[in-house]
Amino acid sequence: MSDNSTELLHQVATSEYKYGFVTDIESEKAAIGLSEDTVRFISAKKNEPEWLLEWRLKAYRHFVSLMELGETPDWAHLRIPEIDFQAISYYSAPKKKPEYESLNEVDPELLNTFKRLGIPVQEQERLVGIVVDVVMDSVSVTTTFNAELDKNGIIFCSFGEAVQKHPELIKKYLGRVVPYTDNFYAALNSAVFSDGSFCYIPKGVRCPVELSTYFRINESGTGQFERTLIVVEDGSYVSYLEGCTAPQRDENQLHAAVVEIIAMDDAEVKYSTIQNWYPGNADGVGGIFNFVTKRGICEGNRSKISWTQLETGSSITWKYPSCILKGDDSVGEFYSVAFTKGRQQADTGTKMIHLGKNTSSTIISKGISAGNSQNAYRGLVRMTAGAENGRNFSQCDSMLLGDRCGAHTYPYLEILNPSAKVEHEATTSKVGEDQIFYCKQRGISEIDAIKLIVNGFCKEILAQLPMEFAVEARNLLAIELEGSVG
Amino acid sequence: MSIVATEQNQSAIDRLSKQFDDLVGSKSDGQESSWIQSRRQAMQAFIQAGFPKKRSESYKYTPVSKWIEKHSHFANEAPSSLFAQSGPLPPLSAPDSKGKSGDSQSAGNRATKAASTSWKSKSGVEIHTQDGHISGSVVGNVPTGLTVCSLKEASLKHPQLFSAYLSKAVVLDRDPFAALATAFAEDGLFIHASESVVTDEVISIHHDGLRSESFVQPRVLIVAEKGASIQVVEHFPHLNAGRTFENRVAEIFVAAEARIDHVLMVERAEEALFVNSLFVYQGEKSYFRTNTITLGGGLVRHNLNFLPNAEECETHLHGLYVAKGYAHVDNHTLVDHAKPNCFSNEMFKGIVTDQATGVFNGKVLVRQDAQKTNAYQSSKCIVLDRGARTYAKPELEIYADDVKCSHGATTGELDEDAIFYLRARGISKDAAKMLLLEAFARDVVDLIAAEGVRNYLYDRLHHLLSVTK
Repeated sequence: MSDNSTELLHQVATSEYKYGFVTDIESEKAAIGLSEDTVRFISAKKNEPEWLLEWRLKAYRHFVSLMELGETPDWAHLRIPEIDFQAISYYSAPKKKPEYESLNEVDPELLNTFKRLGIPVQEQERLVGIVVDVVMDSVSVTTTFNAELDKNGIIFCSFGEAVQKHPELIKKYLGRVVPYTDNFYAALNSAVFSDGSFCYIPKGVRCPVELSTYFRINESGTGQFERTLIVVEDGSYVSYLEGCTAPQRDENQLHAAVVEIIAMDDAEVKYSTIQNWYPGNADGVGGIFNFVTKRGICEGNRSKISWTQLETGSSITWKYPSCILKGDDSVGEFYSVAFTKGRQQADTGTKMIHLGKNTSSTIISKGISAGNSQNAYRGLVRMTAGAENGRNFSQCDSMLLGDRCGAHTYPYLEILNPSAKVEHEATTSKVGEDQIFYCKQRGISEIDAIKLIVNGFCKEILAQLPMEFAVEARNLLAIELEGSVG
Repeated sequence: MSIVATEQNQSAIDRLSKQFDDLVGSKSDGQESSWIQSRRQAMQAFIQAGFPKKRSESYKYTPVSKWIEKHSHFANEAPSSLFAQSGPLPPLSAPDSKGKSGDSQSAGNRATKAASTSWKSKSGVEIHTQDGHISGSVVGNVPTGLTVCSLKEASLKHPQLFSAYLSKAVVLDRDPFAALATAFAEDGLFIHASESVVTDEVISIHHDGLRSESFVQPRVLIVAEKGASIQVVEHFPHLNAGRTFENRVAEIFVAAEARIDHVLMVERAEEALFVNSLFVYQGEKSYFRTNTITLGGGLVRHNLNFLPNAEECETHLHGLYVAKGYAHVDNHTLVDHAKPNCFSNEMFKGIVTDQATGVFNGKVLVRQDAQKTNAYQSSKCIVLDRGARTYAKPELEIYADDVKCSHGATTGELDEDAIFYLRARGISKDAAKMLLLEAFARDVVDLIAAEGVRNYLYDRLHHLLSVTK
């Protein structure tokens, strides 16, 4: 590669985080530290029923026992600095509890924040018809288009609201896909989750709008523990979007979210994510630790869950959106682009657990590493003994944009049924000099050539995103890639 | 349950530690040879690591602790007498312990069954081993410049060569079994080709002597000096020796511009444990090829480690396994590309039937300086029966950007379309399956240079697979 492109890659790898600023909104914090009292405090703040408090406490005790056993997960290809769980405040909520009829009543400071993030809430609301349930430091601030959803019997609200209004649904489904014993961070989340989103699509309803939630981590020194629960009944469909950016920080922030999806007979769920949290500065200081447990269960026959993600942020990403294919003929999909630069570390992938007959899954993962970053794909495909005629295809491609970064692939294939067919392939390469040469020959600058090639590399995945999101994603990737060109 | 296993393992470790002290003395007297010193180091490494834990990532699909429990005889019934004796046992000596398996066919002789399933090369050099040590004399014409002897003999006759290579390739903290074997191996096999010795003659090593119920830890050291070229075929035939446990460690050095073609065939009995730790170290422009064929054994674990530590190395790793009954076959490979411009190609194929388990874990590591590395890996597995299991974990760990690396892994049944195609041409279903399976397996066997070995394996595969279907 010529000096030019080296220069470009250098620029990319050192480009400043564009979305780093702090919104000054008064917030109410829990005292720093983690104890049963913290859990009780959060539960009381949220005015939760007794059974939920009990559930949180069980999770807390489980978490403590894991801590005592020293069972922090260390198997990923990540260097995780020791996290002091007692130095974190586990709850913060905007003090002025907003209940708005329209966005005009919203704190102008907040609206300004969204503007700077480039999220045109109003425009989206009016023109595109997306309902934005903005989560700002754990508490849901705006919910729009409720009327439209109500008409169809769709429930889409903050988790806290759902606990108050639909306790029977929460009780029935909470922890069903990700029990609090699932893993270390799921236990932590279950104990201290502050808020999140709840989505319920009744039988035979095709959700008319794309549901989206923007998560932001705002308060300095605050961990964010989001919990999302999506239940889709027989024959229904929903497309759910989740996008994130976060202000610049000097201290590490911990984020441990849980997402659970339940799809009944013939239901389909499409879950898309753009994750662009603060990745830390050039030396890897600051940045979000992102430990997420995302899992969906295809409970019913012929159901389908599809995960699409674009991961560009966080200093550490530890995330494996998974599918349990329990219903016969159910389908699981995972499409991922993970871009790392600077000193970012990502260990991300999926799990496809085939239980039902004729289940199929597809995994397409693209990793791009630059700077001094480490980017790993880790995925499990398990065909259990009952997964008659199970089918899986996995493809994991990695691209390296520099000689100081790493790209890794760790697939696990466990096949316990002879009629199952599993295929996995992976490649690792760099942007071809011949490809760049070809473009330059046709008058395309080196910068544009690299953009073009990387874009082509990810096209398959970005095409899976809903259109508005795809545009945003492509822009984000372009910005990440070369700092200034949009 | 797991606590019991841990205790069992711990008691096994304590016992082994004591046996080691009995064997070489508990303290160094300061006058020890470098060999003994390296063995002490290895023992320390083993004690520190212990047997692979239940949740150990590298033994994720091969729960050794279970087997150690089951084969508690090597921990509890103290095969210390076995370690205590020096030199190989004379053939037909009485079994040392218990006498329960004292019937003549399994007692310390070359088991009767071996003869019927053994392969003979027409020419070349032939060696037989008993419990991992050379037994009898080297048969055949040994070309000038080629040394074939025991490690002990090598340490006396070629001390410089010996100390230049022994224990230089083995990485003690990579695998506890390798450390254990390095610690306990009293003697072993030494094959050395001097500079520019090029021979087409196959060096055949028949590991056809093993006392019943024994726990042996053989050691092999193979060196090809600059520009030399040799072929080594190792065969572990089926023996009626009961619950044996062979834990072997082999080091192979391929110097600059040298070439080694290596074949290893395991056909041990269904209750045998077999752990093979291979460490290959390559010099500039060298060529190394190995075929690891596993057709028998109860628990077979191959730890194959390759370090092409200079530019322009070429490494080929091929493997084939047929796992039947309750067999558990695990191929664990690591290609550690440390230098630029190297090439490696890995291909493993497996056929798993009955209640057997096949495991493949292949890792390609490309270090930061290893630019222009081309590394390919493929793992294919056919599962024939309900109850059979396969686990694959093909890994790429890449730290250099100007590389081309890929891996592919597939698992499935025989292709229905292919069977149909053959049946439509009047071939019976069984014959069609047979054809497809043999063709699948022959891909690997065809890559073996020695014709005699190839033919032997074709026969064996035909026999094995026709019994299967």
